[in-house]
Amino acid sequence: MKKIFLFIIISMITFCVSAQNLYIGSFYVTTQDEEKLYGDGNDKWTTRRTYICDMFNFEQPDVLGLQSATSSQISNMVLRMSSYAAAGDILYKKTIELADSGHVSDMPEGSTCSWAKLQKDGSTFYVFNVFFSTDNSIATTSATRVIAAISEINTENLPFFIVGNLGGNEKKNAYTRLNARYYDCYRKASVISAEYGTVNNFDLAANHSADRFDFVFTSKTVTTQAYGQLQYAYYTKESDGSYKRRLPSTHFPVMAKVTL
Amino acid sequence: MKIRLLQLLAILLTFYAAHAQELSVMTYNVRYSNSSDTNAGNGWATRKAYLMNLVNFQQPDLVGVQEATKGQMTDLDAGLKGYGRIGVGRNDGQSSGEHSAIFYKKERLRLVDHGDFWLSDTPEKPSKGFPSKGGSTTYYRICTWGKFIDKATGSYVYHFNTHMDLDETNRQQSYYLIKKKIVEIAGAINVPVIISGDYNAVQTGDAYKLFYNSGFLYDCFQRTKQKFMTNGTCPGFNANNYSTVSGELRRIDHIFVTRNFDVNHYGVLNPCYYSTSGTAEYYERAYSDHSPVIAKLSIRTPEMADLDNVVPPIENGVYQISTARELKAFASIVNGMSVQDQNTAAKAVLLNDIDMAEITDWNPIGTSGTPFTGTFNGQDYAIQNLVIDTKKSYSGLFGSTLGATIRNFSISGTLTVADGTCEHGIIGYASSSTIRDINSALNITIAQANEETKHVGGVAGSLFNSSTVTRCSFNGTLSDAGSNTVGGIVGYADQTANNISYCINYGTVQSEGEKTNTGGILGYVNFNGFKTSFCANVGKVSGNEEYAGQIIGRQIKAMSTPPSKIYYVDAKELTAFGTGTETSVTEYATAVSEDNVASGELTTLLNTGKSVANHVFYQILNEGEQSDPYPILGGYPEHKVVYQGTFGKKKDTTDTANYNFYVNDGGCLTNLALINGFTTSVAFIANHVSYSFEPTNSWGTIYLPFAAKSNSEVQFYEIVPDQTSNSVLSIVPCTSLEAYTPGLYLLTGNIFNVEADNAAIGVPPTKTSITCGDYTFTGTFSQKTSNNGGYVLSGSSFQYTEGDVVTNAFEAALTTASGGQHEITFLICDADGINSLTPTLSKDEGSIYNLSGQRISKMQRGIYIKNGRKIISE
Repeated sequence: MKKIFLFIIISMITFCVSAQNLYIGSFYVTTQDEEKLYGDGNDKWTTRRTYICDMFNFEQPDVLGLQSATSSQISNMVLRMSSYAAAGDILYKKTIELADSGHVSDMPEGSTCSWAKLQKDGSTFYVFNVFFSTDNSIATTSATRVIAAISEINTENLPFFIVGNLGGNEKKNAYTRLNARYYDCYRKASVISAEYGTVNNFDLAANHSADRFDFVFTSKTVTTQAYGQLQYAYYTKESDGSYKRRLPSTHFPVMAKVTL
Repeated sequence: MKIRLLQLLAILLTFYAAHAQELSVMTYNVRYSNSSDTNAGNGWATRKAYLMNLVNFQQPDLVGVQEATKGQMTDLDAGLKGYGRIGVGRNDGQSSGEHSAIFYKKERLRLVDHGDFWLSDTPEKPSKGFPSKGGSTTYYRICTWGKFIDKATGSYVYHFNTHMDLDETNRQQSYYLIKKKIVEIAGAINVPVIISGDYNAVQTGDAYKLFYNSGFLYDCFQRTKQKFMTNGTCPGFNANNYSTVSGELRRIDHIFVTRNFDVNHYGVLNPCYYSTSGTAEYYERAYSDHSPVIAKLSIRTPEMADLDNVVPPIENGVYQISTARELKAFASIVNGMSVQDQNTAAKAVLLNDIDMAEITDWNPIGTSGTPFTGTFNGQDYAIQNLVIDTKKSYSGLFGSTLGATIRNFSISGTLTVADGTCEHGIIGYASSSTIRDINSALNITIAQANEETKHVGGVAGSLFNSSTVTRCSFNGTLSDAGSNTVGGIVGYADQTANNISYCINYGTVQSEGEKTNTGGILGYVNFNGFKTSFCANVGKVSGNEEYAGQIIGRQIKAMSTPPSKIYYVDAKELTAFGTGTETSVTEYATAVSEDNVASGELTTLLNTGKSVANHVFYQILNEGEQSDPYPILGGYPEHKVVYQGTFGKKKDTTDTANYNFYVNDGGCLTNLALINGFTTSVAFIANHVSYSFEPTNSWGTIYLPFAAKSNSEVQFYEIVPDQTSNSVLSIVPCTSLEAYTPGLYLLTGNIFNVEADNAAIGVPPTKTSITCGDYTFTGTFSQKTSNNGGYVLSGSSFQYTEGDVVTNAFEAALTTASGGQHEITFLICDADGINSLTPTLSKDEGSIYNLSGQRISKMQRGIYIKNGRKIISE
């Protein structure tokens, strides 16, 4: 009898503790100032936020780093995504515990990096959410600073993620530096659901290059199963009565399914 | 050690259960591979990678695909990572033709059984449609199913995946076949079953409605807690197409599940890729002409699933309802929107109280188009926390009934009446229906003033065609901002013979409307054939007095049968009828005082003409906090009867007139002071009872409803017939005279006063007399007059009087069966010894005989005969 119990318990401990799955992503929201510059100028936050939040409520990522989002946009998203809380511009499921959070100090002007220390079912990890300047040299310095900051902050050597927008594509130094130290999920995933780069500027027909500006990196202890861009659309009724296919933001959300 | 292990196990189990994974199910019509698609630029070779990547990224645990031909199956088998697969080609049961295959994630699910059947008259082999039912098709249609053990939860699930025909008849027959197959394969319809597919049945069509109204299936679209859907499920390859039907996004790809699942998320995913190749004039292209539909489910635990045993069991053709979901399912059973599936004549009983709190989307039983025609017996159980907020006309527990019988339950909850709608109540609209024994505690709100909002009642919104409402009460609140018609029991009675009887309003019926017909019982009626009787209001009714009354707001016609036994409380703000009521009607209502309500008098009036066993109302009285303030409808297990007794005086008053007391059977009466008479029809306890008066004679007859003890001023004698002679009565002094036993007393002091505590007052025997030969000694509780002559104890002797003889209350009379004078012997068994004398009942005036008939010269203490009459000497 005792043996059976022990067997059950060991099996369950194995189930509970081993292989912590995590669904993490990065989303370039596009501010209301910026949204007017792209597409037909009518991809309004007040319309697209509904679909954005429906989409994430359906996808239920554990963690989502936001960029190009005003604080009012973030609070509006949290309001619509009732199972999420926010640490600055990092959204996380309420079932996840926030252990600590902050901003990386001494970031170059034009770049930001916030971080959160999170705990899911006993597994603790860091998330660094970056939004770098489009200026190549600032972005490069930013990457360097983030790399240093991770060592400063993650003193326990926990698994971590860098999500966000690097201000440039994979050919830029910022990417090269990060990719040299960490895993880019896109390159590590056995499944990739993404036909294009990460930018669409509200007009896929005009913008479907392979350039990626938005990334999910992991520390090297993390295994990536799948990488996907959420390329779903919504439709608006136009003044002529027709319906127009629209994308929720100027960038696709980039998402990774990983195992800690 | 064992205990610690058990504790650890319990903790881990909790942890395990809390993290039980969702089961994600996808249905995806992948579009059969064909050359014209390829020519247009939508070829399988181009899109298959995108399609499979999407599936691989979403990682659903179960994927039902449709239209996948042999080559596509090869691609999918190779390309979908981590999946096992079941399902054969529909053309030959091997690999030819399209597959409705099921892919299952091997890491999560273990396949334990599977099979395929054809949607046809001969489902066991490749065959086409249901020609026997008139169906016509050129296609084979197949349904593939699997039984899986969910490794994460330990539960099993059945997954059926199919692609139905283009022919409506075939689709409808497919529903019946699939339902039959579920029972065959899963053993029941209340086990975890998923039916995914391209139903080719749009949500507005009849085939869809068969599934939707099945009573055991949910469309995940309807059931889900959260939804992500921006386009129809089948907009075609052109990603710019927007697909609707009747103003809604068009759906033909559905995931139905049994009630054993919660649906947490529902999504229709519509990514596209950009391609200018081919002849198509659009470049933003979907991965298939259908979008994948995903539902994320939680399997309910077996215990929870048991609660979801939705389709109630049937015994002798009657649905046995014991849960809220079963009651909801009963509504679906009745309403089924297609002719084949509806059962308006269904019968149901409740097996226990039903808490409806979990049902947030109640649909009334019976609709205006398909009224309920069956029977519903609540068996005196309660339906609690019902939320009726349908935003439509004809709302209620029942929307509409025709020839139905609805009875015996109480109901609590809320009814929100949508602006401008009509027919609302427990039964919205009742035609030719019998409604009885229903207690309504609904809280009803009509928030907007609008004369187009009509016919709202605590029990029934409106009555048509000889409907009857009997023994119903309203104890909720009806708050109206200004509608057309509201009533505590019934809103509106149409111009047909309807009858409301034995109904009472306890609740609050308030209307702000200047012209709202507002009644405690009925809002409005304008037909002379309407009947009402034995109804009362003790609740609060308010409104414009022209239109509002405690009983009926307005009846504008004279009535062929006038109202009878209609009672309202005179101290309340309105009278029985609104002042706009036909004047010949208003005179038939009777005002009662609040005292009459509290004392039980109103209860007694409402029970007029009913034998005790058939009383409609009861009222517990004189039992402190357990007392009822007003008449209560229905049976009460121990104290069913309230009765009227005319006896004694009111407690703590000096009023010497007889007073009506009301006491329930087996109940208590605090203080009973007998005065001029006494009647009772039930037994009760008198905490204190007394009978007191100043006699004019020392000897007297006595007859009391309680056991009275001799005291220092009164000595009781009981009368005992002699065992050997039929003309001898013994008069025996006793310490206590039994209740309901005629006897004699001798006043030894000045006042006759007897009292008793906790006296059991029984029901008086019908015959309360002592007989000896031709003589009968009979007690009475009310003054009686005999015109046949008799013996009267007058002074200290019984005297024979011809003609009228009066016996007062609480006295006894000596009579003969044949009238006139007879011989009798009184044996006085006194301390002095036994004297046995034979009286001479002649008119020998002046002579005194002892009871042995011997003439004597001087009377001592005892009974003697003088002038043919018995006399008693002290």
